[in-house]
Amino acid sequence: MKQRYLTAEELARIKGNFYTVSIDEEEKPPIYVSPEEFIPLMQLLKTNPRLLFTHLSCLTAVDWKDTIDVVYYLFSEYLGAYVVVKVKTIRNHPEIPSVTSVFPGAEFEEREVYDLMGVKFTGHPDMRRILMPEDFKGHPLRKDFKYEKPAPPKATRVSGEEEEADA
Amino acid sequence: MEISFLSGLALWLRGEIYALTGLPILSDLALDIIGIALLLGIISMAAIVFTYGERKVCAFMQVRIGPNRVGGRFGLLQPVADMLKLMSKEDIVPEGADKVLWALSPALLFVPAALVYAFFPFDAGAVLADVNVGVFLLFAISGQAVLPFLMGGYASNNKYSMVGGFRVVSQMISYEAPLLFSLLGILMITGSMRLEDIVEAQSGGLWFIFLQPLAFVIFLISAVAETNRTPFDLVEGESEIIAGPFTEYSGMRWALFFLAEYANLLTAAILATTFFLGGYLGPDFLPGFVWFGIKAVLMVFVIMWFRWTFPRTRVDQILTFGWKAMLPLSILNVFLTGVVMCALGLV
Amino acid sequence: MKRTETYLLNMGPQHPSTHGVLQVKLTLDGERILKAEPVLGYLHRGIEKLMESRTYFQCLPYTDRLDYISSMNNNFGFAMAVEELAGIEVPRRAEFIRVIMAELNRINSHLIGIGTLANDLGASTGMLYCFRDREYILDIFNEVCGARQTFHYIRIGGVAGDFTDKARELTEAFLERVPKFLSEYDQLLTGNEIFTRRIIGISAMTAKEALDLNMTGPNLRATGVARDLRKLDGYSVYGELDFDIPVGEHGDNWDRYQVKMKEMAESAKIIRQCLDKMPEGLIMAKVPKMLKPPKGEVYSRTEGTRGELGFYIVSDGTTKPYRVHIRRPSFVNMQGLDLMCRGMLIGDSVSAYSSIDPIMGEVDC
Repeated sequence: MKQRYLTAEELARIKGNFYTVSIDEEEKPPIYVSPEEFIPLMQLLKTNPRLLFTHLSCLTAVDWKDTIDVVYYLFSEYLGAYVVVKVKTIRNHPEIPSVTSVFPGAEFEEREVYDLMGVKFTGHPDMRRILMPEDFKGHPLRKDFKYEKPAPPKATRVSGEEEEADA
Repeated sequence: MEISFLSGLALWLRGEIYALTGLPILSDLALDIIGIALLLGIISMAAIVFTYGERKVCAFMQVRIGPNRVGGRFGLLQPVADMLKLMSKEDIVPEGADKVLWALSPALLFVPAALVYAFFPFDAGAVLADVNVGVFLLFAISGQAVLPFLMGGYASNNKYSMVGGFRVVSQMISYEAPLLFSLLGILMITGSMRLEDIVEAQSGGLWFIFLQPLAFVIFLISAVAETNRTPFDLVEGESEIIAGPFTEYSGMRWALFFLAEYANLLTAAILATTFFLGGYLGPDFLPGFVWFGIKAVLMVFVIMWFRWTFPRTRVDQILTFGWKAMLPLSILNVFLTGVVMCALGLV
Repeated sequence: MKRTETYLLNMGPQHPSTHGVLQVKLTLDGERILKAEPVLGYLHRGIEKLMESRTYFQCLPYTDRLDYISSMNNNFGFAMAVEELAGIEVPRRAEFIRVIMAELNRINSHLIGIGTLANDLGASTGMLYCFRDREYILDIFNEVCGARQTFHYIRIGGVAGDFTDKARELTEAFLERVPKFLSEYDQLLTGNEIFTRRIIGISAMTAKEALDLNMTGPNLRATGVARDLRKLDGYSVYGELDFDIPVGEHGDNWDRYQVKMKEMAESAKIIRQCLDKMPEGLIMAKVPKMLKPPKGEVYSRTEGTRGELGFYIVSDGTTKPYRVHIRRPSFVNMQGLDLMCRGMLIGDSVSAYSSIDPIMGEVDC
């Protein structure tokens, strides 16, 4: 008894208000939306009394080598259905508005996406790395990420007298 | 005064030394030194036995086996292994610590913990310092134990220790009051502050635990709070502030804290025995100090039992409880004692 | 003049009650917490990245190491996601075995949750009682898969080994014990005045706050929202089973504790029904040795022990997943920590940590 996804008609009804929304795949229809219309769309999905997608189930990003898609899975208990919202971003400067104004609980997940994928969320209250150290370079989940081992710290031996002199 | 086994032994020893040297001062001095050595021996033995005992008791209550590797099936040499480990540990002084205060703290904590043992009547006549204001002095000295904790917490240059130090002050001062008030009823009945008089007043099975049950409960709770053991171990607060004032101590310095803790535990048990359980009094088939020991160990077991059953209270709850429940109750107890004594025409 | 100064206390990553390597920066005014900021990442192993270079079968053991307390549930979630992606039909017997294992593991995990809560409140005896009873569950796991932790038992297409008669016997014996040990905890902890005072009304959270923070699992249910994916989605054979969703009222630590206690009894009920209903038959579907799911993506979620455990897998038609994202309930729930700690005392912060019940392997992934 898996939960269904929104049908094409339901999606078409949502699309009515937004002109950058595009729906392509047949089976599991994701909604592609431009960053500009993204927040109003999420607002509508969450608050429209006939939709009520109040639960942000999953927030992540996929690196498609030319673009980075940010993926949102919303769930509505009222409809018993998921809706998948995707935002395509430019790979060199991935930047989309933060969804935290609509779903405050997305804070950590957005930070994680920023940390591992490098997508900047404008308007996020605390846009910092969350899993990697603050001074880490690069975004590990990108397909072209190469890990460079940091040079091991040079062992230095300080004799007791010098130590005292330093203090 | 009747002569018990221990005091008889002391008298005989004094007589022998006097006969050998002919100097009364020397015999007194020798006896004092022997007494002090004995007390220190009791304290360190108590620490050794109780570490082992506590582990076994705790293991028994927690459906475990407990120490069983060092020293045969029952792990009897575990305390020795512990001691060796502590002694061989590196002594680490934290950077930025106030070194003088830091080093003084464990030593100073041990002093009041050990000093109070001078006043305990282990048997009839077997008291190192037989003073007629024993109770008063006892609490005056043990009240000093607050300061070393705060010193250790402050000097460690560690926030956890600092929080622990603050907690110690608020907690120990709050519980000092109900502790003393709970004993006031007994002092009113006996009319003496000499500990031996208090014990003698309980002869014939009239232990104060029966006369003053409320005071006993208050005393026990306050004494546990004073020794900083669960449910009042906020000072150590293992899972909150790690070990409070002891966080930065290692090796033998830490062992001194440990020793003081077990000395305090035994002190609490001995006080309960002396004030409420009839001290060294008991049927004649055993000497007095054996009765004393049995009762004290029993009390230690009860306090350990608390520790392994109850969770820890919170800092605001412990203070509220101390000031709003324990203190009024102990004052009520004093009042009730006075009323009953008046009614019976004992005043 | 009264002048106070706030200070910063670093709790963890080496701290006895931060459940591994959680670091929390507490801004304190005396003992009162003004702000709690979790600092994560000390256990980050890059599992999502590692999975991209492993085949689907090789990915499975990594899920064991996510939430290492409830490995079975993680195996279950990942296996379900891949099965959905590749269109594999799982034999009915295997489904029942999976549910039994998942529920046993839920009890196991809640035992640890309650035990650590007790331990953090200073009642170490409570913890050891919980660990004692956990042994019986580990014995069952040992019997079916030979491991006591990181089981790798629920595989893609079914389960690794059959549910033997010995395992059934052990499970029956364990089910006998469940009400006994629950009442024992009630005597030791629930009825203890100090314990109740420490957790009633502490770290309370309303249903709206919890929903806003995307919280799931026992933490959400404690606020009174009866959302349980086992009921809501009815995945695997949960749709055929009869069980209740325990909910709390005030969303405080007490309710979280009570929800966990009641969920253990419910899980025992589920296991009982599964044992009765389990048919004979295969335990493994026919799965190709080289599993190449068709192009596409799937988001499959299960009710893990700590909330909604989701696996988002993108397949590019090869033997290795193109991208795996794991929605870790502990990670998302962690956002509630600040709200739960604010205005509480230092002593309450540890009970907040343990009632959120995060497993750092899962938080940091």
